[in-house]
Amino acid sequence: MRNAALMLAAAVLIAGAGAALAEDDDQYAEFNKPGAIDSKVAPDLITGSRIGMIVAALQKAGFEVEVNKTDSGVPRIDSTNKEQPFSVHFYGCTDGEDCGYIQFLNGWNMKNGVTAVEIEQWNTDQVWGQAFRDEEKDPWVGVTVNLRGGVTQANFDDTVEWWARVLQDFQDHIGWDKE
Amino acid sequence: MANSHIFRIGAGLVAAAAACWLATAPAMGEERETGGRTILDEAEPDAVLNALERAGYEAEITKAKDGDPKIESTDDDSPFAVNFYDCNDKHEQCAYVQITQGWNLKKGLDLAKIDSWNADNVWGQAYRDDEKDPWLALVINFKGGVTPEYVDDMVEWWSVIVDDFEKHIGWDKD
Repeated sequence: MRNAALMLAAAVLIAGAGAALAEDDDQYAEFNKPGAIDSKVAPDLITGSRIGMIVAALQKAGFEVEVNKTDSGVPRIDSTNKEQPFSVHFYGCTDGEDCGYIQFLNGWNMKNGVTAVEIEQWNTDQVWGQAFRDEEKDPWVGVTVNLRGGVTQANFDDTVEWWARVLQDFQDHIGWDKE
Repeated sequence: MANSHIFRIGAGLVAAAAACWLATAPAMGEERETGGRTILDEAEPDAVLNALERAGYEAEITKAKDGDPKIESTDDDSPFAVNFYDCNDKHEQCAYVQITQGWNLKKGLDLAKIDSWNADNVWGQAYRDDEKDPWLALVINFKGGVTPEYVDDMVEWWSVIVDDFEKHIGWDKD
């Protein structure tokens, strides 16, 4: 029955390009767990429990992604485009429900890493995108997005655009040439 | 301890805040009631100031050099500022804001301390100024519309990370 319902939902999705959000979300039923907080949020707003809407926004911006699950049972979205890897991590969840905020994140494997000064330059000059280095001195950049209380799809689309811009600008900043 | 009176807002306070929003709604053309909830379509200075005041901060609306709005704390113990970005030609309808604060340390801060903050913390971008003094910043995006609850939650995050950052940099109000 469950599979049939999923297939039906998928069929609806394929049949109608402008598929309703409810069906969109069914594809990720396993991850859509509105708890006591998120279930009170108006249905057209994006929360951390509405994975389908988050995926749809990423796809609309041209990203190719899949939804995975972390060891702790929390969703994680990963890029499936090797040319543009990144992931979206979910935070502030209660027993896997009502995740309150997410972080767009990516790191770059550089031959010699980057200097702390290069990272600090970014953090001083840029309003969007928090840069840091890992233990191997490789550069990372993240954008954290609050979803508690819900944001409009237009707002989330804009934030995804910022993420796309940060990815590009940061790659330029660190001199990434797909080494 | 400017932030000691800031706490995670209980349900009753949320309701009170919501009632407050409804009561002040007519004065704010940028708010709209739709589908039973309030949406803030832009970073409107009064709305941002209201959210800060609901969290216990004391601040006033001023103007930046370029004419865009700015909010500045009036509490010396908590000297933050809110910068407004992507405003229109009339310095209105700004798309996003950045809350920022710097700490004047006798000898500034090691770059490694800034690096470790940015690596270990999801919220709050840390950097240093020319005098190696540490700064912390947080962006709130209003573009396209957000709920007042979202804004309140962001202000709450700000209070949380300021406390954490002060511990991280060893701030003792020198």
